[in-house]
Amino acid sequence: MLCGNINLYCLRDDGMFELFYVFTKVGLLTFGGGSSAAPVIRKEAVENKGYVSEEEFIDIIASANMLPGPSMAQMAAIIGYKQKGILGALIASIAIIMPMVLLFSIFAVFLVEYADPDLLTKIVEPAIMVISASLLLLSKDIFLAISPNVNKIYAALISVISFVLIVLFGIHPSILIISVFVGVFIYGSIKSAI
Amino acid sequence: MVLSSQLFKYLFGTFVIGLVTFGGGAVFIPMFQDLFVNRMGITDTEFYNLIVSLATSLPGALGPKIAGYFGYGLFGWWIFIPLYMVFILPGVVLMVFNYKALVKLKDSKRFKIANDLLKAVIAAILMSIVYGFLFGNMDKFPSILMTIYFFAAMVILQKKWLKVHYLIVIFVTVNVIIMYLTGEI
Repeated sequence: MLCGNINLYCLRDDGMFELFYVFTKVGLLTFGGGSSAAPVIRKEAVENKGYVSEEEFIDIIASANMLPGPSMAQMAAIIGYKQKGILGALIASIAIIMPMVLLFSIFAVFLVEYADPDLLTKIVEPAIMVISASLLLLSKDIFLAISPNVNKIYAALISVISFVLIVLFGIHPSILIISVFVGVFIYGSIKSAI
Repeated sequence: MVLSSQLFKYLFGTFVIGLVTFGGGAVFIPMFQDLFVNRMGITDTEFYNLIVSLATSLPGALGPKIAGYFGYGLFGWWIFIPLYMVFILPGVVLMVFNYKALVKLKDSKRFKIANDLLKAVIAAILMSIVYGFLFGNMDKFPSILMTIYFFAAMVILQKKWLKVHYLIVIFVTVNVIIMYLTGEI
């Protein structure tokens, strides 16, 4: 409550402003779009604000990659949904996407005229390096979060095969995620039938 | 009449792209190229690539920025509202329904096993994004300076000395100074 002593203009902050602020900040700090927003969302929404647990966040990344649509907005939406229901999902997805869309649409008009895109790319290249490093660290943390029930060597093998399939064979990540679900449920059904 | 037909093409096109594209980010680039260059004919490949390179160099979601720029140029600021509704909202709705379904399954043994295997796959997906950032353009490997930035960022973030956004600001500033001193700017 930002009310103070005089209760004339009582701005009731029920978390929506904060949600909007957090995800606008994430949108502003993300380069490349898609899942490359994951480390920044993790830092701001998971570590700083504690909106969701690490475990839930991994499920959120998986769902966003499994379903069609812009995954940045989807990751934000589900965190917003967990906080404030449907309205939270709308606020978070608007905040992470729309301010940067608005700014880009306005500034790009001038940038097209005056800026050299190659020079701009060179200037922001260190930002891409920072995002890459944070993605790599997130990737390591997610791998280490695999429960002891699963043999780490098998898990590493799955990671290596998935990486090769995506990078060398161009297999879409959503296919791999759906395959894991389908594989486990078919295997479980066969096992319980036997 | 021409405008309303373009508006329909724009909204329907972005709606379809939103529904058939998984993951977001760079996967949107060829889809929007097809829409804006071939189907709507509002720009040529050269100008489209210029907008893509600007959108890639600036922060924010890539696909919505590209769609937003062309929509704004064609129809004005009000287009952002229907753009959100046709492009972002369907994916958000799907995500909420999917989340509700997953919550019901959460305690099942199979889901827990799937969840652990998913972590291995997600780790690989994130590594593939890093690979794309570092070596996506095989003609041009990261320079020595960029390699230094990368490893410095790894150490600083691992040790939690600085947050991501401070590090981005510091590194970009240092880079601008270096570029100025070497005469690149």
